Amino acid sequence: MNNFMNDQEWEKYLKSKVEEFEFPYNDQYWQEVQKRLPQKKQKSFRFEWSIGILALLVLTFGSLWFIFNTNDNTDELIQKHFYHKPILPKNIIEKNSDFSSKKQNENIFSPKIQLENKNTNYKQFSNNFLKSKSSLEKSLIARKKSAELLVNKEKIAAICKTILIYKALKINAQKYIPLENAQEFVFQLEALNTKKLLSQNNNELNLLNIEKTQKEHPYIEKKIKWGLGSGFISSRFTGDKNLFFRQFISAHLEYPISTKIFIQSLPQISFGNTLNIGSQNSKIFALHLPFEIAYHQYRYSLAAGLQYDYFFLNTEQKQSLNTSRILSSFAFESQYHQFKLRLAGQYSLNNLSKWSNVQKEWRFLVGLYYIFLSK
Amino acid sequence: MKITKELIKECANGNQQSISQMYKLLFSPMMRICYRYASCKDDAIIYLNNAFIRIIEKISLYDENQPFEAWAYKVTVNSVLNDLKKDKTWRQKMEALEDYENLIPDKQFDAFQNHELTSQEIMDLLQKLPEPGKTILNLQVFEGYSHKEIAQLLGISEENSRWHLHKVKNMLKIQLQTFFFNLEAI
Repeated sequence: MNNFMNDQEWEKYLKSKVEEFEFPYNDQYWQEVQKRLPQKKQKSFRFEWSIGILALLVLTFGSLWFIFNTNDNTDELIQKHFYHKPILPKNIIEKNSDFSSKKQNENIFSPKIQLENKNTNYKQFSNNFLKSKSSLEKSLIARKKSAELLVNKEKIAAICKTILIYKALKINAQKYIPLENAQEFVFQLEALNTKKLLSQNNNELNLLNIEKTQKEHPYIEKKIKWGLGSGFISSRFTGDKNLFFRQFISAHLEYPISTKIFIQSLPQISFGNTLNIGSQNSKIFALHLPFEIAYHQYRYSLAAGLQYDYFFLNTEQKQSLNTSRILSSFAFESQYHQFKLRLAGQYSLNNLSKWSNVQKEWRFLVGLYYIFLSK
Repeated sequence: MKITKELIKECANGNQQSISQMYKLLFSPMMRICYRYASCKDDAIIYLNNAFIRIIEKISLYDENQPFEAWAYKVTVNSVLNDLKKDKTWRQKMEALEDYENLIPDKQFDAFQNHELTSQEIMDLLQKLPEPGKTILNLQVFEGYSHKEIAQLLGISEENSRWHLHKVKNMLKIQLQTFFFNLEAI
């Protein structure tokens, strides 16, 4: 046994012996292991993903619910508060109890305006509309369409002083100062003048009544909360107190709109002259601006509707009112909100880079949270 | 039958049949490892099963450029060491130095040349060795770890590792001599 203590051989011997070792396999061992094995893996479906997908689904369905189940009675409310509400003082209407039938036989448009409106569709629509006995009860959409046709006529717009100022500014002022600031300034002045003018004579058509009604709108409180929440988020996460955010907060504070109107205004959002929401990268813009746009779309339609209603008055009634002043007010209202529509688009474009630098995804989600909270 | 890449992929996908097949293929080589470290057959089975579950759990981390068996054996050794470390008595034994009998093997004993030991007999002798020398012997002789690596793995000093190895080798030789002496006596 001289080699017994040779470590290398000794280890070799051990290794070879161990390699020969065979332990009998038993299925029982496998059954024990099988119970403890992890479940079959789902390659692409992990826990984090499932949570993310679940959150996405909740947000999607929540948003859909918010859009489609909110303010379903908007049309009813609008008709109740605005369109069925006489725009003229009661004493004038009472004097003309056969108001609608008279309109059928009368040429309600001044000859000058009629000549200018050579649009066949408009004429057809107007004639059909006037021939119907229940013309004043036509649907909201029909009234809006016809009103838009009227307001878009250049000649009608031309009689409004505010439009002239607007056009002048658009040409000249933009060389020296940002266009939107100049326009905003002029419109603010005009708004003050209009309010002052209208408040002087409450017997005339008074747009302030509309504002009062809007304040009493059942959804205004929720919208104020929404606006406050959004404003808070904006200042909290950006700290940027520029014009946009002030606009952002103030615009939301006065929202009396419903999401249904927003949906109705989607075509304009998509195909408007200056607006292209689809091009925005920032989701908060996509969230905020449609509401802003919808609001102004709504106010624009309202003004246009009032403008349209004006043409149902007979000559006597028209003479009893300050025609140019009222038309100017209507046109001002409609043009002002058209301007605001464009402004919303401009803001979105101007501030796009600022928004994209902040945690927009996070802000978007928190924004949604506040919106739901405001409900 | 060999462990193929397809089999590994199927195991990674959680195919029970493939995992079962893999278990059968790895059973013997893994048992050779686990049996050496364990103090009895039942412990060896427990170590083996734990190690196999670990292999299946970590199979997605396996680098295809390396031989699978080598990777699996390394995972097995690590798993067994983890299991050993969980045992409080094993950790206490790591610090103790009295377990080895202070004997010197008889250099003149030559019965070794006259008798062929079976692998089962060798394994049984290995199992009976005291800790931590047994683990150090396994790591050093069978797994090829250096004393530095062993020291890091077990949390002891290199000198301590050397000392344990020397003692346990002596002990194994004495046990062998005793074994042969008994054989001759019979």
